[in-house]
Amino acid sequence: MHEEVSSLRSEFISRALATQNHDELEALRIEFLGRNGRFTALLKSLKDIEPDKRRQMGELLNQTKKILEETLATQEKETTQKEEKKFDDTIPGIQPPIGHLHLVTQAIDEISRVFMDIGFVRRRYPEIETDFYAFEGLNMPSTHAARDEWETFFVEPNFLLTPHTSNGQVREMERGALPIRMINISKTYRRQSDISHVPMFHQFEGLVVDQNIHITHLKGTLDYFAKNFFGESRKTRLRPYNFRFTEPSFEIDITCGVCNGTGKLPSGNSCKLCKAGWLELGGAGMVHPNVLKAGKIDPTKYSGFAFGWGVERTYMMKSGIQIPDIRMLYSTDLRFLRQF
Amino acid sequence: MDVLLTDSLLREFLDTKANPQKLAECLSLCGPSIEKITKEGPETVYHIEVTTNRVDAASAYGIAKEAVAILPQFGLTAKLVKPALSPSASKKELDIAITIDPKLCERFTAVKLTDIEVSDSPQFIKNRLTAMGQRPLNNVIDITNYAMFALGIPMHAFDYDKLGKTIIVREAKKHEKFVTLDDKSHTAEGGEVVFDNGAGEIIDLPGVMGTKNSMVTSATKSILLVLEHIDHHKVRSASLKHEERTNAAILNEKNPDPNEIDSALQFALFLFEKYAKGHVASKVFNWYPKPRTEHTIRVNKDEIDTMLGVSLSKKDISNILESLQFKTKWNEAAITVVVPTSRVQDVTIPEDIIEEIARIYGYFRLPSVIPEGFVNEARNKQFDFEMKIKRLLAGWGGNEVYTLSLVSKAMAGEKAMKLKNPLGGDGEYMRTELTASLVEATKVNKHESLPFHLFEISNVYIPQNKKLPVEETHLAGIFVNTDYRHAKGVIEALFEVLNIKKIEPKLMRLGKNFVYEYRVEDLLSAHAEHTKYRAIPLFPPQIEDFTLLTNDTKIGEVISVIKSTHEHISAVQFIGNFENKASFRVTYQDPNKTLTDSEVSKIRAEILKNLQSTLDVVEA
Repeated sequence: MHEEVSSLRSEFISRALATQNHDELEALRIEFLGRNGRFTALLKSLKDIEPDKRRQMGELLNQTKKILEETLATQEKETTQKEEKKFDDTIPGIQPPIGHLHLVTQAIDEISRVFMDIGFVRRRYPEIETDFYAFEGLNMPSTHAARDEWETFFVEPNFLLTPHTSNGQVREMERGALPIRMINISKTYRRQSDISHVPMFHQFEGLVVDQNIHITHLKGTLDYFAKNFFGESRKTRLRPYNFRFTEPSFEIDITCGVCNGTGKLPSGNSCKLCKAGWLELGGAGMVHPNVLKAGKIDPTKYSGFAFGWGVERTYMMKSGIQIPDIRMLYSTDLRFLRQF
Repeated sequence: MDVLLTDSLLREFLDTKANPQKLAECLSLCGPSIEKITKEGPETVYHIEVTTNRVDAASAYGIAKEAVAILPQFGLTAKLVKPALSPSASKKELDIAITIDPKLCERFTAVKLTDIEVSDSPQFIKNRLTAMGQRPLNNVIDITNYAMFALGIPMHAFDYDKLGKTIIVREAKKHEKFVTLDDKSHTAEGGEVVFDNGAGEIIDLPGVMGTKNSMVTSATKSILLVLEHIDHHKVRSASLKHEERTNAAILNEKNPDPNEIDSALQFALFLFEKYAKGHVASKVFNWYPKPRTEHTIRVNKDEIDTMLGVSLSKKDISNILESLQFKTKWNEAAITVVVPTSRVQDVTIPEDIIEEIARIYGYFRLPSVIPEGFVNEARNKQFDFEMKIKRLLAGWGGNEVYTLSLVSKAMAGEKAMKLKNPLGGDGEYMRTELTASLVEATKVNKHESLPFHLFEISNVYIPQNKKLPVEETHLAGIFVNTDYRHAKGVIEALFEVLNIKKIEPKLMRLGKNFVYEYRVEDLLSAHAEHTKYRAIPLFPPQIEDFTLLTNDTKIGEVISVIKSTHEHISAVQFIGNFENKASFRVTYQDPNKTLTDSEVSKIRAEILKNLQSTLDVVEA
């Protein structure tokens, strides 16, 4: 039996050293040390040996087993090292298909989340509208220039494509639930097409109506938005302006992201997108008492503020996204869509 | 309205040490916005955006008035310099009879000048006009333009000798013809305000542009200088209809104060005497039946404080208003404000007064406060739902597009609403479906040889009889270069994740492409927000593969026949097909026990029997 043990040991060691990988090594382990392994069979036969030789034989088998296990462990370690050396972690991966959300969707999502943070509720109001909600109820008399067919699209029989999201103001007030903190994001339409205008675009309209609403609240809300949407490095300013549906009215400007507020491009040409480094974000103001009245709200008890800004313009003013022509946003070219 | 103004002309009326940059910065923050400053030859030019309600500020004098209110708020001194006026007048009545329709004209003034020497203007006038975008012509025409840039009141000089003894202010009749100064022939649409020389001939399109038949030339000796106030709506529509967007029309359509005509006329006379050697040869004809008057507005201090969110002192408030030439008087906690006639169009309610106080005080000085409180109501789930769909589809490789709602007739679908004033034929209708737009959207991607998927969520517009259309939000998409099973799999996966069971995932074949379109509302109402818990089976299933001779039988039908055979068939999976055979994997499961082989083979026999009897499909 001694010879049998030593020949088994020799065979095991020489075969172990010849293995090339873990699988071969594992097969070898099973052949010798598995439940029905050749070495295991010797161990099992120990009980059949005469008692006086059993002890000596037992010691030999234990020693041998230790040697086999050590050989296995050493070889295991070497195989791992060999395999690690061979493994190429620089080979490119196989990606799942990557799709893209449109920039306008990304903008709307970001914008609405900023306002929802401070208690605004998202709404959606009609794109095809009556004169009352788009103009008359917003304190725009029938002679106002915006009502000329030169800027607004009209639809049979007597409707129009809303040129601004402000059509949602009186509709929101008519719901009769106060206070109001709404953000209405929708498609809007104007009869124009050039580098900074598309006939269809998107606006977001904020409306707050409550008791004791001040200009300071409008400033605070828009500051919060600018800080969170654009980042702290972009500067904003409030300028006096004139809108029929707010009094007082403001224009909010932000430093241009294309020319970094300088008005000049690196080429030396002047920036086509902005005016001397400032971009108009959009209008804002305190809700005109006539608009509150149109929405059946008592202007002596309630006041409010509103703002309506272009989604595309606002997003383009954000750092990093420098699209020279706003019409490109409505391209369906995958080479464009896949960039964002 | 964009106004160009040279620094030199502004400083004729404004005495300040503030440099152009500082002036621009201060004015932009508190008044008319100065968008940029450029150099034009020797002149420094401000590019100013004056809002349409502030035509009183659309001139050198108007900007100077703003500056004297604004600059002191920044610690800079500024004084207004009044324009030089000529009081000259002759005792002779004007020898032209003027008839005016008061519905068309609010004020009409005219004066005759003789001994005019037509020549070049002095260099400074030429430089300033050029810098403000006005080509210098001769001293007579240049003076009228220069006075307009200075004081904001347009005026017109006629060659007196080309006029008759009558001027009638009337509406044009349809088809009447006239030629304007720029040599353009026009045919009246009817309703434009015109001057008629008494012989039925049109001699002016007042407020917009003069006509050729009465214009000043180098041969002119006498002129009739006219400053009138035509109904501003009429001016705007005539200017737009005839495509004559002159500086005069742009000012006149904004309803400037007719009271300002007096100083504008005297300033022009001063210039004519000085630079064209003219002599005033008539009394000023002045027809002004209803002069505009100031009005008063009362505002409570607490209204001011509430709007601003900060409390200003009474003295600060009256100082600001008086710097703008409003007269004020405090009476306890209320201030009575007299609004000058140049502002009565624009300042009509207490809020307008508060705006004047707030802007001059400076919006930039007000603190920022986020309003408190929340709206206590449930959120509209559709917004999140749409976003979820978009994220899922993009996550599976879809590319979201936004296509225009305005489409051609061919793309609009049935009974679409038509635009009355489209920009062109390819945007004449409001679409009633998205599919056609998505098909169009693939056309720019012809170069793509790999599979792609475009999708969109947008409204379509379903017309209603005489009522506003129903705006339905649709989800639609198109798969290109994609095999049917991969395309359909995306929609199946979408419905599975959204828990939509009542709607079939369905795609339509369009040539080699596959399209789908759903109403988002339908998807929203069919989806279950949460899945119900189902107990994990305690007993192992039995799984078996079938290969069937399906020939032309639809795979979906085979699956549904197998499935409906027995309640213990928990799943049927299509493995694949080859030639006329298809393989399926069937899972047998009884929730209450482990099925025995003999029970399974009984079900199996039933399946094969059913397939043969209903679809004539047998095992391969």
